[in-house]
Order: sequence, then structure tokens, then C-alpha cells
Amino acid sequence: MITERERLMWYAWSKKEEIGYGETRKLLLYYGNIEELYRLSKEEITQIPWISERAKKRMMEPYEEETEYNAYMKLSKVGAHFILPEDEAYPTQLKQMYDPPWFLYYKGDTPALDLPCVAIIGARACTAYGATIAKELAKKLATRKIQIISGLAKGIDGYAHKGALEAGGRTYGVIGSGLSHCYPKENEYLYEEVSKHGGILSEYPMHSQAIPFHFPIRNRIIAGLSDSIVVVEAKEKSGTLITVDSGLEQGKDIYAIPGKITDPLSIGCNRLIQNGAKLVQSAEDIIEELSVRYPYLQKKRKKSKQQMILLDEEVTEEEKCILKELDFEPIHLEQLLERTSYSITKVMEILFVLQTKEFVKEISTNYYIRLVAFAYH
Amino acid sequence: MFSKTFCATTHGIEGIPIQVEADVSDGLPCFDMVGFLASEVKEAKERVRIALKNSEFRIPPKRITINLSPADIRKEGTAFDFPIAIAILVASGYIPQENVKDCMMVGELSLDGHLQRVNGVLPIAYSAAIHGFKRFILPYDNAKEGAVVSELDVIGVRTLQEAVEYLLGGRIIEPTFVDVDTLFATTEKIQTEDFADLVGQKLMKRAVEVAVAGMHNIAIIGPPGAGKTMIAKRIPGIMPPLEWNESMEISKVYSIAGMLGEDQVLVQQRPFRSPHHTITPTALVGGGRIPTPGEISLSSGGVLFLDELPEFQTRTLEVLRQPLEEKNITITRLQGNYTYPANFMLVTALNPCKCGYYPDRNRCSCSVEQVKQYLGKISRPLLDRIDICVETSPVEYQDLTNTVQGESSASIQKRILQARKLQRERYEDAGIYYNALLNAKQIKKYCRLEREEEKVLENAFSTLNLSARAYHRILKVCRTIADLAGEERIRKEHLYEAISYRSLDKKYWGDL
Repeated sequence: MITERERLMWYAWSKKEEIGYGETRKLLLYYGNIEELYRLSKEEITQIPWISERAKKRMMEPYEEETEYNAYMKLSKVGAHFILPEDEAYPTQLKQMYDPPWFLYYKGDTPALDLPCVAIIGARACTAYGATIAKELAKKLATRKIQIISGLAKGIDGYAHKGALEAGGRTYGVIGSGLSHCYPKENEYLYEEVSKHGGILSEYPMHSQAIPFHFPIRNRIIAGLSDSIVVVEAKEKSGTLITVDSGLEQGKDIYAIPGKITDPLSIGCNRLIQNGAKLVQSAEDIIEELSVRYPYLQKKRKKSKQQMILLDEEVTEEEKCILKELDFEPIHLEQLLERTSYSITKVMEILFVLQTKEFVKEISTNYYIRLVAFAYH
Repeated sequence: MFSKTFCATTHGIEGIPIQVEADVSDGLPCFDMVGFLASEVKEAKERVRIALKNSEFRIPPKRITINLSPADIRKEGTAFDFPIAIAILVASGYIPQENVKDCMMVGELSLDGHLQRVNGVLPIAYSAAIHGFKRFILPYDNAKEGAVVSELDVIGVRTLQEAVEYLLGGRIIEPTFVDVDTLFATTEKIQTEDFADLVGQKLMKRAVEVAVAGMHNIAIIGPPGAGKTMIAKRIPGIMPPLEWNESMEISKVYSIAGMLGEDQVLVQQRPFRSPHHTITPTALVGGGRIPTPGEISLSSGGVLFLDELPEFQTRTLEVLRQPLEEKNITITRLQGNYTYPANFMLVTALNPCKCGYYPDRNRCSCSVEQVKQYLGKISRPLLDRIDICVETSPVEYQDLTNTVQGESSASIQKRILQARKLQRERYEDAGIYYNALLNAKQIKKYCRLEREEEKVLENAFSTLNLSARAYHRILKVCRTIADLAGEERIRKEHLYEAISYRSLDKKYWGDL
């Protein structure tokens, strides 16, 4: 069991960002435990050869238990928690990592142990195709009680969280800044929602900024939390692939959504498939693999379908005709007029109905995209 | 001896008669002018003296006093030279006083005694007729402009000498005559730009038709070179032809701005004004130390086209808000309030993003934030006054080489006239002319939806995430679409169409 004293010390330690993960590891190996580290005198610290000057400076700072205690107690006021690997809330999956975080800050909850976790990750500058797939996939998985893990970033990450939230599922975001910072700003609403319907986790102290080098480090936690990692869209050189690498090191299953070979945002995914990642055509492809470890998933709800997303509701002939012309690439209303035989008002009517059914979206004035995969014969 | 003549000054677009009083009496020789004069009016003294001398009139070395009354109105401009000269001649006994009664005079004198053209003749002629004047003597160059008012004998003179001879009865000058009716009859044939030149672009044409039918302000979005300006230029051509009163009102503004000339005595076509985006607020709405009408007044009755809307200074665009509501602009200056008409249809064109190609991701490299930021430059209140928004479709090579003619402006105009007629009949008691002017209360009264249609709109609100402001705009546009179809009841298909024209809103932008 960990004592309250040690916990406070770790809390104080967590704020010394200048001390790297590896340095902490070496210090602990050499001196035994956290209490010993605080007992070191200034002279002793200066003599340690294998840590940086900046880290030494932070280590020399005096430790005042009372100030730390007050700061620690304030965490709960903003709904944040500070946990160590010894705590029950600490996700057990992480302990199997080579480099589990020494501590975690979180808001909301941490992922439940008995339910599968799937990470859906991808490019920030995604296409409509990637966005739709990420969202739909997350939706489908979340309805089967699968927890969706992602990075709360722009693009694919955001859509994965949105999909899970829409399905009423649990979703967890691992962020590269302190919990009191929301980066990027436009995800603020999402940030709130995710902390209510799941949780937000971070390895960084509350007020830490989103610094670029944080992101690759937090990616290992995303990989560590998940049973499987799905890459939706990635360029040839992408930060997403760091998560994949770290997932591979930890022995996780990697999935990728295929794309057109001409699309730069699909090169990363297609390459992964080439190298042995499982190609995903539908959420069932992932659920199937997971069901080995999570038997409750074996019970198929409905007959699985070949297409990932197929229209459940019936569409009329007219709607079909318009859907056929639409794609994930924006198409102008004028082009639809040229390609179909309908009048302007008719096309507008059909588009409106399709929009209310959420099969189609107007992404900019008079430009439409199709949101659903559509099999036509 | 005392004498008086009449001239006029403009105030807003109205003419105000001014009485020029001259007194020539014994005393030390001097020339004094009083009556709240601007500096260019004070300078008239020199011009008048020398013009008189060079026209071979001898001014007696006496004490000359000129008063322009009413003395509490500020007098500006050079139109007073001529009446002052005549007043002096009357007071000096060259011309009998009764020869100048009922006679309005304006004109600038050059030193050799020639009369130069002045601005604002049309409103002056109008007020002269109203105030019971019989004759209007003015520079020859302005004669046709003044002759539009048929109640007056408009006498165009070239020199001071000529004017004096006329007033003494020694010379007969025929009143200038302009046949206004034939002028109007020929107007329609002058159209040069026709919608028939536009191939394809069915959606755009339809949206423009709806906009004109209800006088809705419209925003045209499109990449560079998609023909936005081409469309805008053709809009005046499908508006209903100018009516006499409208033409008079517009012509008055043009007269004051000095934009009427020998070849154009009346504005016969709906104006199309397209100021550059570097325009200042004053130039746009009018103003200046001596208030003059701005672009919004010059485009009254026609189209004000603002190309590259986000490039305009924010302050410039903000001044449009009030005139868009009130349909006129009141400029307040130290000297008083000036009201000019501003009953224009606003047509704006803008690129969808900075590079202009959004949402074509192959060509556009703007991030979603950049796209939003570009639109964000335009303020919410201004966007709220734009009822219809359409995006041009990409122009393909076949479109450019296609020789098939589109529908002509004339046939579009026919439908618009029909819709306008319906509106005029409906709003006879409401005091408005077209759907764009409907206020919230009137919308409730005239844009009633049946239960079925109500449901569609309700559905649209929840799924398309519409704002409350969009609600009224959609209903107004709906009304116009129904009018174009000749139906009193707003139907579902009208609603669908109106919804797809809903105005641009930042939140629709970019988010997938």
C-alpha cells in the first residue's frame, strides 16, 4: 500500500516536468523509492552524473508538505483526480507496458477493465471520407459497449469521440497537455462531453501546455489502453504511426481502413495493410477478433452485412438516383441537375429529405456530400 | 434701387428656392454679399463683376449689396453667379423688374460672360414648378436636364449677354423640349447584357430570379472566374422597367451628383453600381462637408454590387446596416440633415475562402479555421440582411465552348413582373411593395404555413441546425417563390427551395 506521504511526494514530483521519464526510472532504481529522492542533499544531487542540469535544478527545490497537500486537495474541486499505479482506478492494461506512466491525472472515469477498448486514430487534416468512417465506426463499436479511445485532437480523433458519444457509449481521450487546457480550442465542447461520458486522461500536470513533443509520448498511453488500434486515415509520415509502432511493441492488434491508392491520406493506411495490419470493411471485422477475449461480443445482434454502412431504411427511387451521383467529394447542385433529369425544385426537395435523414450533408453553400456508403446495382 | 431675382439650392434631393436681393444705392463704391454664404458663393463677387464688365455692362460706382434669403440656409455651389448678375442689372436699371418675375435662374459665370453647367438642375426645376415659377433660365448645357419638367419653359442660354437680350424681349429663345415619353419607350431596347449569354448555371439563374422577384439581397459565392460579376451585371436587366416616379427620383440624385449630361437627361435604366472594395464609408453612404449622395443612393432603384465582400473594410460595411432597413439614408451635418434615397438591392460576391477554391480540396489548401475566419470578417448583422445565398457551380470546358443560348432576360423578367404584381396587390394596405420588406409581424400575417409545411420547417430546424434568424428569412423567400409560382398558399416544394437558399452562416462552413 502506498502511504499518503508518498502520494503527495509523487504529486509534487509529477509537477517537475523537466525530469524525464527515463531519469525518474534510473533515480528510482538507484535510490529505491520516492522518499529517498527527496532526502538527497544539494551536494548529492549535483554529483549525480546521469541526469540533466535542468532536472537537477528541479530536484533541489525544497519540498513543503503542507503546500503540496493544499494543492492536491484543490484537484477535486475541478473534478480532477491524481492516481498512481497502486490505485484501483489506474488502468491495469497500462501496467503491462514497458514504460507505464508513473502517475496519471484524469477527469471523469478511467476505462473499465472488463470491457474492450478500441483506439480509433488518424490524421488531423482528414477528408470527409475519413471523418464519416471514423464516426460511423465509433458509433457501431460503441453500441456494442466497446470503449473508444482516442486523442481528442482535430480530425479523425474528434470524429471518433463524436461517434461514440452519439451512440451513447463510453469514450476516453488521452491528451498531450494538462487537464486544465483544452487543445485544440474548437474541441472544448467535445472535451466537456467526453469527460462526462467517459474520461480524459493525461500524464502532465494540470497547467502544462500542449507542447509538440508531448504528443508522441501520450500516444503510447493510447496504445497501452486499447486492445486494438484502428487507423482511419494517415499520410505516409504521420504521428498516428507512432501510436501504431508503440501498439505493435505492446502486442496490440492493428487495423486499418483502406483508401484509394491515389489519396495521400490513405498511403499510411494502405502501407499498414501491406505490412500485415487487418483490413477493415465493417465494424464486425473488429468485433469478431475481440470476441475471442470478450465472449459477450460473440452474440451477434443481427445478420452481419458485407458493407460497413448500408442504408437500413428504405430509400425511394428518386433518392437513390441522387445518392448515386453523390460522393464523399463535394458535388455542386448544378452538377446534380446536369446528371439527373429532375427539375431544380425536385432536386432540392430530394436533397432536403436526404439531409433530414442524415444521408447527405451540405458542407458549403450548394455543395453536398454523401455521408453513407451506398451500394447500387 | 432695389431688385430681386430667384434661384435655388439643393438640400438632399429637394430644391429650395432662394431669393436674390440686390440693392444699388449711393455711397462709397463697394460690393457686399450677405446671407450665410460658403466661400465659393462669396467668390461669386469677383466672377460677377468681371463677367458683367466683359459682357459690356457698366456697373455704376455705387454701393452694391446682395442678400441671399432665407438667410438661415447655408448657400453652397456656383449656381448663384448668374442670378446675382441679373439682380445687379435689374437694380441698375438695365432690365425692368417685372421681366424677371416668375423666373427661376441658375448658372455659373465664367469671366468672359459664358454660363457654365451646374449640378442639381433637375431637383431645382422640380421645386420651381411646385413653387409656381413659369420660366427657368439656365446654362445651355443643362437645358435638356431641366426640360424634363414639362410644366416649365426651360430657356437654355449660352452667355450673359444672350440672357439679358432674352429678358429684354430683344431675342426669342424657344423653350427646350424633351420628349420624355419616347425617351422612355426606347429605353428597353438598350439592354446589352442578357441572361441568354449565361450557359448552364440553372441554379444561379433561378436564385437570382427569386431574389429580384422579392427584392431580396443576395450573396453569390464562387471561385475566381466563375462568372459572379457577369451574373450581377445582368440583374438590373431583369428588374421591372423603371417607372416615371422612380426614374425622377433616381435622376434627381444623379443630377445632384453631376452625373447627368447632354446625352443622358434622365436615368432610364436601373442603375448598377459596383464600387471597389477600397471605398470609404463616406463614399459609400454619402456625406462629406458638403453632403453629396454616395454609392448607395446612386444605386437606388437598382443594384449595388459589392464584389469581394470580405475585402471591404468592416467599418464600411457596417454603415450599410441602417440604410438596408430604412431604404434611405439621412446624413447629419452641422448645416442640417440631408436625406437621400437608398432603395437598392444588395448583390454581393465573395470567394468561399482566401484562395477561392473551397470546397474543392484538390485546389484549396485553406484549413477549416482559415475558411471560417475568412467569412468571419463579415459581421453577423449584415449577413442577417442577406436573404438568399448561392454558390456558383464549377465552370467546365464544355460550358465555355457551348453555343446553346440560355433563357433570355426578357422571359425571366416576365415572370418577375407577374410576381411583383401579386405582391403589390397583396401589400396594398401594408405600405410595402415587396416581400423583402416584410417585418416579423407581417411575416406572421402573410407567410402562413399549413400544418404539413410547418412540419417540414420544424424538421429542417432540428436536422439542419438553423438559427432563429434564418426562420424569418426562409419564410420571406418562401413567399416570393410561391408568388413566382402564382400561388397564394406556400407549399412544401417552395419551402424546400427556400431552405436551400438559406443564407450563409459560419456554422455551416467547413464542419463535416
